[in-house]
Amino acid sequence: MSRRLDAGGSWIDRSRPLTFRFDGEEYEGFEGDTLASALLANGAVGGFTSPILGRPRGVMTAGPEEPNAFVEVSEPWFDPIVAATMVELVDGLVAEPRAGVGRLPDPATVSSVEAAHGHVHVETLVVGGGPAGRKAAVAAASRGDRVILMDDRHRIDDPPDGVTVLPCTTALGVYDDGYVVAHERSTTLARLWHARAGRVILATGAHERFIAFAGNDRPGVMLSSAAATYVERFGVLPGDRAVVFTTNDFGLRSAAVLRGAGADIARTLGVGEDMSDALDDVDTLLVSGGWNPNLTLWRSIGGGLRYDERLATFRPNGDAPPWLEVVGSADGEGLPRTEAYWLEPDGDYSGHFVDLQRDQTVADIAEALDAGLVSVEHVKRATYIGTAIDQGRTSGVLAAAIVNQLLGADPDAQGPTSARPPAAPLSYAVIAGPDRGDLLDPIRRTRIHAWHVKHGAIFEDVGQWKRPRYFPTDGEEMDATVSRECLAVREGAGVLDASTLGKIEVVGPDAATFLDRMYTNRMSTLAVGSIRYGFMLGLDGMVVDDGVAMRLAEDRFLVTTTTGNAAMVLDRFEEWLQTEWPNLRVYCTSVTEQWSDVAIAGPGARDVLDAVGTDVDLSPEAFPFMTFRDGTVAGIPARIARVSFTGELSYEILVDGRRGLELWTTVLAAGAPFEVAPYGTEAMHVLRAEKGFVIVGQDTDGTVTPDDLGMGWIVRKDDSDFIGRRSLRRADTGRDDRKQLVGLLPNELLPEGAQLVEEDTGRIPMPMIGHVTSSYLSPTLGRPIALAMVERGRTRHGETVYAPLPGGTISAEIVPPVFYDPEGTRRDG
Amino acid sequence: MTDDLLVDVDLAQVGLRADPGAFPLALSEPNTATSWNGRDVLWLGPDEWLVVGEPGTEGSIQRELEGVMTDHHHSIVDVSANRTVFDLSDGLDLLWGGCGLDLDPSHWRPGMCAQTLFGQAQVILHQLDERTTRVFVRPSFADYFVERLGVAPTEPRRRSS
Repeated sequence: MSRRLDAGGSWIDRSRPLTFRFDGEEYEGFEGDTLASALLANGAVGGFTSPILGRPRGVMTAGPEEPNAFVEVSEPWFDPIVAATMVELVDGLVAEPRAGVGRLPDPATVSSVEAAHGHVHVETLVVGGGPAGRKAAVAAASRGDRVILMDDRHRIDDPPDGVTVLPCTTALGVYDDGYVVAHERSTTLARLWHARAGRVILATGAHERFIAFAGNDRPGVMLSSAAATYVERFGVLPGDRAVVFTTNDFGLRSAAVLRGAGADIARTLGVGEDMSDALDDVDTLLVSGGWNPNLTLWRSIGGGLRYDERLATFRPNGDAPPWLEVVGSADGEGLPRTEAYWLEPDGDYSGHFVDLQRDQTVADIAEALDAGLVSVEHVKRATYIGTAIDQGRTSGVLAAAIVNQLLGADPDAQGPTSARPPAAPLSYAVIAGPDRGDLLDPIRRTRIHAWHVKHGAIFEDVGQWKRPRYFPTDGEEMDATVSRECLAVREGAGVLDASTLGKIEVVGPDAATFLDRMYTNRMSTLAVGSIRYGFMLGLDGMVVDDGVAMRLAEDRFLVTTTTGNAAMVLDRFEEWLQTEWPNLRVYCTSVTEQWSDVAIAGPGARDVLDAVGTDVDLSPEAFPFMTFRDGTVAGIPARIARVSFTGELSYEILVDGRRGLELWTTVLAAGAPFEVAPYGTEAMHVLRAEKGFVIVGQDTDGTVTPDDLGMGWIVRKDDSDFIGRRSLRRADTGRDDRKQLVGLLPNELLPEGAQLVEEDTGRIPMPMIGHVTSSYLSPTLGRPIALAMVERGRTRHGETVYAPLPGGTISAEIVPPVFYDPEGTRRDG
Repeated sequence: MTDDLLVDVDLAQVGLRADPGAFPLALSEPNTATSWNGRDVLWLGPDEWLVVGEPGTEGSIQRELEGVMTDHHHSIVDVSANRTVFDLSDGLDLLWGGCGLDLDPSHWRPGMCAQTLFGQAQVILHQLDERTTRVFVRPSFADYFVERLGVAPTEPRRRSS
């Protein structure tokens, strides 16, 4: 049966009929309808039930405060749960009723809407497209302001000129200094707006108040203003025969609208009249319990409230920051005087619903109060009133009023509970916007990356970087590949793309003094042209990063950091320079990507570099370990550093980043006669573990001092200060039972992270004395090796420890952490 | 969307850090690019500028800067390879999808520059003229930037001027 009136409906276009499906049935509506108005027009609102009690429910409102009529939209976009009053009708829409709880189907089976993000700046942002909002927008635009006017409905009447009008846009949160986040829903796009406004005007209007009486949740009970809205905006008469209950003049106006549209208004009830049989002989009960300013956003930014006896509700207390203003009915302006009445007295309150979406009644509130709760915040948490999708728009003020009344307190004793963003639900997909999939976290690639891809590299994530982990040849397993790459370095030469290492140029007359304070060892005594390895500690004396410093000139250093810590180290440098030592004349510049870094390592490295061609004298006498030389390599201006992370003779060649790929391919081509092999981070890890070189963040965990690593030599002992020095003098950092770095020779490969015990008693718990930090099959030694942190580890060399594991216990002999070439004879080739 | 929307540009880039006022030009106007010896000097912070010139001129830029900065504490570092440069045509309405600055042409005018974020990538923006936004981004973030922007760059091309 059609309930569409023959005429009227300011929002609908009767020349544009639309077809949609609801709960499996096909219906027609008009452009401009909401799903709710179209369902009412078709008399098809019987499908809604309450989520907990399963009671039949009808459409109660015409806006975002709707507590009953929730649907899942599956076409032409997907929304797991949304109020039918907020769904703009489009042709082909498919929806089903949902009892207050959404479900997430397989993402592959649903139509997703593209989610975008947008940043926008305006002088004035108005939330709410009603008369007050439009007036404020017009005034701001006439001053020359850029203005945004947003409203969560799909239509803004009489949109003003010179204003950016955003219908279907819900302000989710208002933040300090005019930052507003809003969700725009259109049929083809969901957009999250980040708006920065000089002034925010909340013209969020008011919601008509619902009251508690027996059976107030039955289908046919409707806010009086909603019924009038359906007539006036959509040309739909929600019922033929109605009873009106009102505490104020507005309810009478609604009744007049319905009567004018042809409805029979059977009775008008006021405060104190019996409502129990109000629905017995009519199909619609219009309720007007007064009006509540819609203050979700005002409350969420900490806006205060004051009780207004005339309105029998709370309104803004007027104490707004200078950039924020509340206008119109949101400020209580123009709202009708009402009697204070929200609870029809009764002996049994189990049918007096307060929060229809949580199926909570006055009896539930009374039960919470009987349990001793007195605060509305506690009652909210006991009953969940106000926590459903509708965010308590119809129940918040009502629940507070009933709490006050049941406690015998004044109506202004407690206001509604606090509000927090988001003011309305939205999907994570919209919050994520474009920042998902590969864009969730930026993927950083070196300039040589394309070569790695082309040559079949398997990558691993190091911070945001993709680094080649190993380079398998056809069908080669990872272990075989890593073994081959390791042996190439030990026996011939390998090439590593080391470009991801962080690099910072530290310049100024106090650069050396500064680095002395940042690192545990002394950088100021470093000769120009030389390199020193350094440890950086936290204030707690624990190792946070390592790297090398190259002294380029008296007042200029190039410092490297670990790949993952490059930004952290630069931040640290700047923080100390700017906040603690502004007197130091030092400037830092990140040059991580100024340079591509190609490392040639292995006994054949010198031959390979010779073959590539360089004007630098590579003899060990002219170019010793831990020095660098500037020259050319393959005709490319280069800085060559003799550092080694493998124990083998190594040259790290730094060139202009734009020529990195050229250098890489040249080295591989010239090195082909020497069977030079590209190697990845996995082989690098194995090679350094064989030498007992630690990786900060793998062998350390923020609780490890240099001495724990057996590297006390790197901490200078004189009186000069460095970060962490005081902490190294604490009794705790000098304990002799601290965990210390050791090597392990296990009888089979240990899993990293395995806990170690002295004795495998088989009885749980066993006291744990350490854990494995690194573990590999060493191709060089032909056996598994591991690094571990073990209590008093340095005094236990030769002892056996055990790693009880689900598959059995692995035993291991504790040895010094340097497994290979402990004398360091190989670093000169 | 045209093929020339996003063009790779090769440039000389030199980072200058010095005490405010040390540089012998009035460069203290925040977020503004100034011309100096035919170079663009981009204000990046109270003590930080980026000097941008034709490709290959980083050496002469450094020498000229050293010449005028002799008497002041300063740092001059070649960063020509440290950032990839794109010239983006008519792209402000793409940038606002990932950048929180006020890029409305009524407020973001030719000659302005800023260090900011686009999505999660650090970028420097320099508005060259009404249509062209020059974007400096770390090379490792270039793929991310382009993908996040939603357009593909054309082949690398030298600027004629």
